[in-house]
Amino acid sequence: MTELEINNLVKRFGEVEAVKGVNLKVKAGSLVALLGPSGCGKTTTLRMIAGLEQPSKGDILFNGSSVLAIPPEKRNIGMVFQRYVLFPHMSVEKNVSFGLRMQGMDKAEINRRVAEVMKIVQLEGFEKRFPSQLSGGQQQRVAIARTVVTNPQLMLMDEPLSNLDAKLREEMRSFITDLQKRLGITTLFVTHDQIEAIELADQIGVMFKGELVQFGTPEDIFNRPINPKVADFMGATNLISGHLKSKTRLETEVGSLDLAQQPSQVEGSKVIATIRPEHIDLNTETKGPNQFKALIKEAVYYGGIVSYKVQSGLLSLNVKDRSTRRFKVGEEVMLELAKEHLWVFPEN
Amino acid sequence: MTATRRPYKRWHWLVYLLLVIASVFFLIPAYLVIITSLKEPASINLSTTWQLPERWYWQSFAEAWTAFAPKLRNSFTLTFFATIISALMGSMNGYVLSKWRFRGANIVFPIMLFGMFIPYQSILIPLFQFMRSIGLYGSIAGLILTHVVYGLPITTLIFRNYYAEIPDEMLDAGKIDGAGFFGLYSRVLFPLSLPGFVVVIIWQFTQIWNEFLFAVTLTRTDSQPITVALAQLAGGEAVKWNLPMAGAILAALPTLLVYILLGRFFIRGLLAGSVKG
Repeated sequence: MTELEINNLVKRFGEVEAVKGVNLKVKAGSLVALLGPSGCGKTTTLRMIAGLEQPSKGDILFNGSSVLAIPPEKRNIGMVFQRYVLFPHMSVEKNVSFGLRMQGMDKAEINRRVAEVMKIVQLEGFEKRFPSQLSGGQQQRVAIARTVVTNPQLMLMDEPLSNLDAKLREEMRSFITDLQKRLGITTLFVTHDQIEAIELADQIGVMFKGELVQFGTPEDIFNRPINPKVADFMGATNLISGHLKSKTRLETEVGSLDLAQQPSQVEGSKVIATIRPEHIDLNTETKGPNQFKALIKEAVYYGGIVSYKVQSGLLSLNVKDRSTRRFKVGEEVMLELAKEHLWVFPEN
Repeated sequence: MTATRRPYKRWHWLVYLLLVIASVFFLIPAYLVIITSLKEPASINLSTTWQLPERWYWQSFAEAWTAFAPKLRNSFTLTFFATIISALMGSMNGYVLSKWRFRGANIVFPIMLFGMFIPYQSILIPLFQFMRSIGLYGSIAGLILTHVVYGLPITTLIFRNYYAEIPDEMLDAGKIDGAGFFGLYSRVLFPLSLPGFVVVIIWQFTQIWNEFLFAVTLTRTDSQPITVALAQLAGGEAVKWNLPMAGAILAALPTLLVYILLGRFFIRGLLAGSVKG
């Protein structure tokens, strides 16, 4: 199994710095997701690891030795692309065996390996079909088969699920995690979908504007975002500004809030608190602390969830309610902010 | 619905009438060529030009075949090699210009395309001198070289645009799997570009087969293609008109056949990518 290490990786395209000194360590056999909005440099990072782009600076190491001088075909990696890019003029069998044929492997061994991989991706019996005769999910499984058939030391996946519909995406997620665990291939997965990253990855690296801003377990990233931007990207879209009255109390324009986590900032400093929409509760009467009055401005039903937009003074918040209660637009409610889910960051 | 269709119904006979008149107009030369080729030499004169032959004289075709067979062979050799070589080279050029972008590719490509807009006449004398200096003047090989070079801009353009539609990731996937520059071309791009080849082959075949100016300038009697031989025969004083007419029909057959057999691929190939959106 291979450990991947990236040291101070930089990529410039003319004047634009697409990747700005990324450091990353992927433990052998683990699945790491690079998560970020489009244009954040995650795909460029992946392409540099594959050898399809040359870094402007920095180093890429497989098991401690640099691979910069090694061309893509000699790095023993597999890559799954966003568009499946199967060769349309070749049958499934020929697509899967392409890499092995390029290595000049003997025919019997090729047939054995292809049969084995077709079983793993559950596509036995599809060998003679052409890509155009397969569904999107099947095509992506062929793409994965083509990648793992060469026993790569590292598997790179560039948004492999974004072309699939929602239901298929869910199926493929569990398919990929199962496969990765079974084969134990160190895998780096690029996505802009935080749910996908949380569900698939052992660890997540969040990238913004060419920088890796946070690296940790899905739980870390989800529950302990390092700054408001990460929090926002992970779905904590509510930002409340205020100042710290004490280590456990925050004074805001709508009232004071109790905090469960003690912030590192000193008392009196200006801060921003974030909370996820699903961690705000709606009530009709006062029950305890961390509550304040608000007006329902918008209510949209999403099947099982009602998404509200509420207003309290100048502060506008998003709330997701899973209960069966319904509040009407214009109704006055009490908001309750769960203190254990309130996260505090310095204002800048 | 009917209200919107009525104006069309009222006028469409006029459209058909105009189309029939235009078709007849364009078919007149073909009619004259065919009937003249089937007349006895003695019965060909101005007063009976438009009349059908009194007796069908098929002998013209046998005579034309005997007279033109070596020239047709020259034309076939020329067209076959020039078309295949210019198509293959254009496809390699297109591959490099679309998928292996090198520094300066944006300058090289427009310069190559510029070749399409240089009139044949303007380079005739330097071309003649160049061919003589490299010892290819008067040979079919020299004419093949000329047509390959003159064909490269258009074949490169067609293939470059064709390959631009093939996603780069497909080649990246091949690269990671171990295919190099030629491996990617021969195993991935070449098999995918057959519709592109049909377009290029029809285009080049027709252009080269019908071309006259380079042929008349660069060949000697024994290496003349059919176009030159036909013109020379028709240029004499006392011409037996049935012969050049039968020869012209023989000369037109290959391009007609190519278009009839491959025409539907031609339209499909030209539209490749543009319809998909």
